[in-house]
Amino acid sequence: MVLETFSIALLGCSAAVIFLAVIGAASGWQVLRWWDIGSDSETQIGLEQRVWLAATLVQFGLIIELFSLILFVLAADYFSTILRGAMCAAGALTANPYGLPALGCKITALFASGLWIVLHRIDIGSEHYPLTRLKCVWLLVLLPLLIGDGVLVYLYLSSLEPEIITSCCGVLFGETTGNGYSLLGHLAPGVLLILVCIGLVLLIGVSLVLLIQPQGQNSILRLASWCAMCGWAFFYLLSLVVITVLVSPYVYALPHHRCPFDLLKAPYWPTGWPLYIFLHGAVLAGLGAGLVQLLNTGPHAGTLAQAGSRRFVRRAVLLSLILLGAYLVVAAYHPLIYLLAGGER
Amino acid sequence: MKIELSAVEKWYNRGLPNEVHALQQIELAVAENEVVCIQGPSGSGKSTLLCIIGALFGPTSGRAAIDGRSLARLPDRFLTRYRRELVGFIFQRFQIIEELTVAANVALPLLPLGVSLRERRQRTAEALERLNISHRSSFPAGGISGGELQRAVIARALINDPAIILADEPTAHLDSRLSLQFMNIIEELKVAGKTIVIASHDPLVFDHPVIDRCLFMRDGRLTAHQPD
Repeated sequence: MVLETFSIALLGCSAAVIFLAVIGAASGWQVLRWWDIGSDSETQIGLEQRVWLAATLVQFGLIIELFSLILFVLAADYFSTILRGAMCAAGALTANPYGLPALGCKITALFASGLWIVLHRIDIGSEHYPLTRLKCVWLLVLLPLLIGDGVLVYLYLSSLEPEIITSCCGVLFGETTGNGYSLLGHLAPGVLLILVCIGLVLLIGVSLVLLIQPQGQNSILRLASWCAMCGWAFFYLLSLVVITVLVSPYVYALPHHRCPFDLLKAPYWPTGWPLYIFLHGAVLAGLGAGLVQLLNTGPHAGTLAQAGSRRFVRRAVLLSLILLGAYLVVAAYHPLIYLLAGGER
Repeated sequence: MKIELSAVEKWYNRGLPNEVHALQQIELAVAENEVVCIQGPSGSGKSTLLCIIGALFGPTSGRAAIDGRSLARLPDRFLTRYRRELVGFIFQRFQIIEELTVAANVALPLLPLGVSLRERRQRTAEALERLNISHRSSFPAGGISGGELQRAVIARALINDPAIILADEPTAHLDSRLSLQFMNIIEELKVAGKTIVIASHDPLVFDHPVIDRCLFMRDGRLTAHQPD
């Protein structure tokens, strides 16, 4: 199905992102080799300009990657009309072994690019460029991730066979565990709910520690930063499961319909899109706050403070909590309406 | 504010058939409250030198620093703040917006500073009065004479009360009376503690007593003595 319109658009996006990433990574490699902040040589001044070029490319790459992620989900939804047995994007993505890894790779690349931009914003706040080397290493890590994403998308699209019968979301995420296809069937909603509550309490607690920022207590801040980053990453994965298992049946008003993708389609999109936007925004802001606070406890703390890193952490934590609140409101709306009104209106 | 340039080089279109080596190993130190005049023929690199001091663009290599802070290294938002708050630039080619009135052009540097409308009007009127062009304040800038335009450009450069004033051929379009009036303003600015660099080949400028030091440029090189 490589010649489908969606496929051509997706492959075009991947090619564009890889092209930008290769140029960015090449600049990063040169900076890592020749960077000397104390020098006024032509090479150094040229490298400082190249860092700006790389930043611009990554920002464009991030926009394309975001567009590509949305396009990928929409494409999978479209393919579900062609593939036998696939009723929605979930079925289309599991039609071969490359669909879900490609989606995971895209999401990871999106967060990695977003965090790189956070680092860049902090770095250019100081005339000493304290994070330039870290940014360049990050660029070099980002490149294989984006290439991997492009390769997986190509493999997914080229391996799609309309003749092969695939499964729909009811089988993949349903409660029947005996068929061997169910991905989430064995997860008990009660346990998930408890995990969400524990995760929320921990996340809010860690966020408050980051918000208060006890001065001079680097070990506490470092621990809180790691906890925040791991916590938000875990919460993101947990949320995807919770949306599928706990939230979506209430939105569809069908107890056995569990699907994270149908939420994006009519008539459910007014719930689905805000849900995912708030979740991704909250996680990115939370990860950014944790990362920058971790750097604040490192050797460049003084320079980063001048660059406004503490202010950034405070704002990012507040933003993450606001978006988390918005996410929870949207996620809890249908279950609460059901519980309070005794059913959907 | 102190200006320091060390081993500054500037190439345009390097490696291309039309490459120009505009500045070569420039060493310059301008002390705070000093008025320096740079003389030199057209195309010798005076404007490029002023543009580098004004952070309009960076050097190809070398160090250009203001009060010890390297301009080439300053992130964009710092450079914007530097140009906005600390530098008054009198451009040789005016760089005005012809469709706006003279008063609006003069008031432009105050806009990003968030100065209130009332204060903006007051400071604009004062600047225009100082340069004797109040009578043209409501004229479109594209419709006044070269000399009046030159005075409007000077008013625009001074309206922010900048610490550094860079003037590129400021008297090129002024008659001798207005040129002397301009030099009187420079004298007032020196008394006010400003650091001033003027590029000019007008004897009324470089022979004026307010000038502390004259430097000479030829083929991108800066010397303390007039080349033969």
